[in-house]
Amino acid sequence: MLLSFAPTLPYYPTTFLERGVAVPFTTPMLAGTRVRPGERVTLELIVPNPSGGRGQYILPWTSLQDLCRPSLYDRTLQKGVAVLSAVTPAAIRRITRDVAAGGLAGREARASAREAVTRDTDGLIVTNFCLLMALMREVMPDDPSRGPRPPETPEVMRRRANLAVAQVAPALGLDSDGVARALEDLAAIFVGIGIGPEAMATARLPRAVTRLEKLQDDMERWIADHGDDSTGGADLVRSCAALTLSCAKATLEDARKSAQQPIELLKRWRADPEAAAIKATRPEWILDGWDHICAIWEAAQTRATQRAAIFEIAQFAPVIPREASEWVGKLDVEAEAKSLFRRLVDLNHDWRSGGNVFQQAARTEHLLAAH
Amino acid sequence: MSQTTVPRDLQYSLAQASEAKMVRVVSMVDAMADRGAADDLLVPLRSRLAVLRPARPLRFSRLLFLPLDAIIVPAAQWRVGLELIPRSAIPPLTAVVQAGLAGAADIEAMIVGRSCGETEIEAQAGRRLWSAAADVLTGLDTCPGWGAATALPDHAWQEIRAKVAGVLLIADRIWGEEPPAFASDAAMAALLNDVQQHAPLAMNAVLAVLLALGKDSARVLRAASRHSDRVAGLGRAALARALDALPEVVANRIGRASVDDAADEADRVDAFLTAAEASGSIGRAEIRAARFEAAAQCADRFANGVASELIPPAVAYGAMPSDEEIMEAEGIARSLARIERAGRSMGGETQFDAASADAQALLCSLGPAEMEAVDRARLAEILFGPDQAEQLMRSTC
Repeated sequence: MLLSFAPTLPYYPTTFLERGVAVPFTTPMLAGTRVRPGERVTLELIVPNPSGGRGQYILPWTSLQDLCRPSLYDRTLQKGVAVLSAVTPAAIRRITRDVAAGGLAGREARASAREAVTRDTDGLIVTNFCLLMALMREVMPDDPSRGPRPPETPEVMRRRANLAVAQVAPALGLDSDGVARALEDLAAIFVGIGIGPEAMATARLPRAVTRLEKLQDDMERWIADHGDDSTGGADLVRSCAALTLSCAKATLEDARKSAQQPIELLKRWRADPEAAAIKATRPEWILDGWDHICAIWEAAQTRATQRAAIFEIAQFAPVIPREASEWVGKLDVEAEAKSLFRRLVDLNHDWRSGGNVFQQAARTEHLLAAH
Repeated sequence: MSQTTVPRDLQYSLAQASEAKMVRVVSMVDAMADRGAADDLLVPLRSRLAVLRPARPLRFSRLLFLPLDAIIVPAAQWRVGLELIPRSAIPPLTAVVQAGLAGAADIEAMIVGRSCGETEIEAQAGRRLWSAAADVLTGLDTCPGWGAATALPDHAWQEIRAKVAGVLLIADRIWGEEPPAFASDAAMAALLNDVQQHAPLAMNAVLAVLLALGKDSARVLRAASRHSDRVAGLGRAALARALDALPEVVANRIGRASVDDAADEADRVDAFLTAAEASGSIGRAEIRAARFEAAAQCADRFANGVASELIPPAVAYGAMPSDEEIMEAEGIARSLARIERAGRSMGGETQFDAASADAQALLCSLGPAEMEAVDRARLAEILFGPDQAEQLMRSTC
């Protein structure tokens, strides 16, 4: 297999929105596809060059079927995405889950989508509770001279919570119910971040960070253990993962800090909900697309399949846009990302033959269940 | 030991035995410490065993001859000069390797309790065994008990030893998940150079083994044709014999194998015929005939698979099948779709148009009481593609 690494910049997104949101299509030719708001059309489809060469195809979202014969699941997903009011990772995740729950990506993905709904509901309750606890701590801080507070019964805790909400409500121009609703809305935004000691490890985005760290470690080990042409791809994935991780950790920390000051957060939410949500959604934008990449790598268990996985994931490892430097400050995102932006070209890759298309589609459906 | 020690009527009745009975007989024979004449019982079953592939213990002799499996034949079919190895040569050759190899006991310990088909342990233990066994065989002048065990003359020993040693010499480069010899044209050329230099008498056996692996026949044929005239000629001969053997391979491994194995074999046959055609050493008419025959076999397997292995179990699951049942049905459908793709690639468009239409009619005949609409649509998508599946979802055929 011959590879060439081209240090050029055929397509380099400035913002995360320009980079687009990853759409987990199951049709092999659509691997690595993203969607973004368009300039002349409502939505644009960004498809990595199917030959493995440099560049991306940018097409109207509606032209998916001109490009290939998408699976039933992809066709339904396309229709669902087309009517979204805003393209965000959360919105794509929600629509993906809804379509998968219908069964068009197979029983495994259906079961996984249904489990995810339950998991998210549980997570919402926990996050809402943690935000309420943080509000109580802020409104009625513990007196350090009295030592640690003894355990409270649920009834006592409920009364203190009501009191805290009632105290803070007038300053926000809301009644108690309004504060409770605002906390619920904020919980929906912060649920993936992991608020509270347990959720810091188990929530969706911290888990994504752990998976990505594992991928980065595995790539480092691969580079150390192998001296063949796959190390270039592994190095590309490792570098992208490292940059993504540093940005994701910094923004996760930032989001958690803001959740520790719920009064300020509620004030900002009251003034401008969209602006208040921005910090909490940054980690998701940064980590967008890596779930699928990690799933491809984790599914590869033998040396041969791992090698093939490296060539595959190196083709659509997400590039960090310049906008990240505004989010994380010191990081020289632009310089580092430029040097990372290389594309793998498999000169003998016969992408038109449809070779192994059945296994690839089945595998992608299986990976959907692993997201 | 000779094949006449087992009564022919017993062999005949075993040849007609059910699959379950056959598997029981094989496991009984495998469990015997000294198989002796009992091994002869398996002779008429071998072609069916190759298809059924029951779990068999990985013994020293089986590991030793694993890379040579494709060229091992009943003793009666062996001829001087051909690339073949008579099965009767296995016991004496195994005995001399076991006696002459210092680490034989360690290798035996590695494979205790393991089964054939455990590819990782096969490759690991094989790497320790094969090239060392080649050295042992190369250093031997005689083989004790050769005549009694094989009923073959002494000069046959020299020839068979050379072929076995030659294949074993390069076995660790052609075996396993990612064999280095298949990594590039240069690696394959280097392998043929080594065989030419160290085991020239084994060249035809090596070429036959390489083609039988079905990994990248085109690379093998290309390397042979670019080598010396002698190797190019041997390559052509090996290809011609592989093509002669193809109808039996196709009948057994596509016609009678499980859908998964049949799909793998259909892909291999398709790739092999493409490589054979590209080599230019076989007439187009001959290739066309082989393609036609293989495609017809694929179409039959597809039709049988849909009618007997896909639809009836799916219907038997009832209206509320479990996730596992549906996933199993989809697995079968995927293998059938692979068989179709390979069959069409081999020129079976007409046969598959008909088989596909029948299969669509069968699937359309299922009502909501028999299968959920989404499950039916997915089976249709896997078998016939998303356009037909979408049509099926819109209407009830």
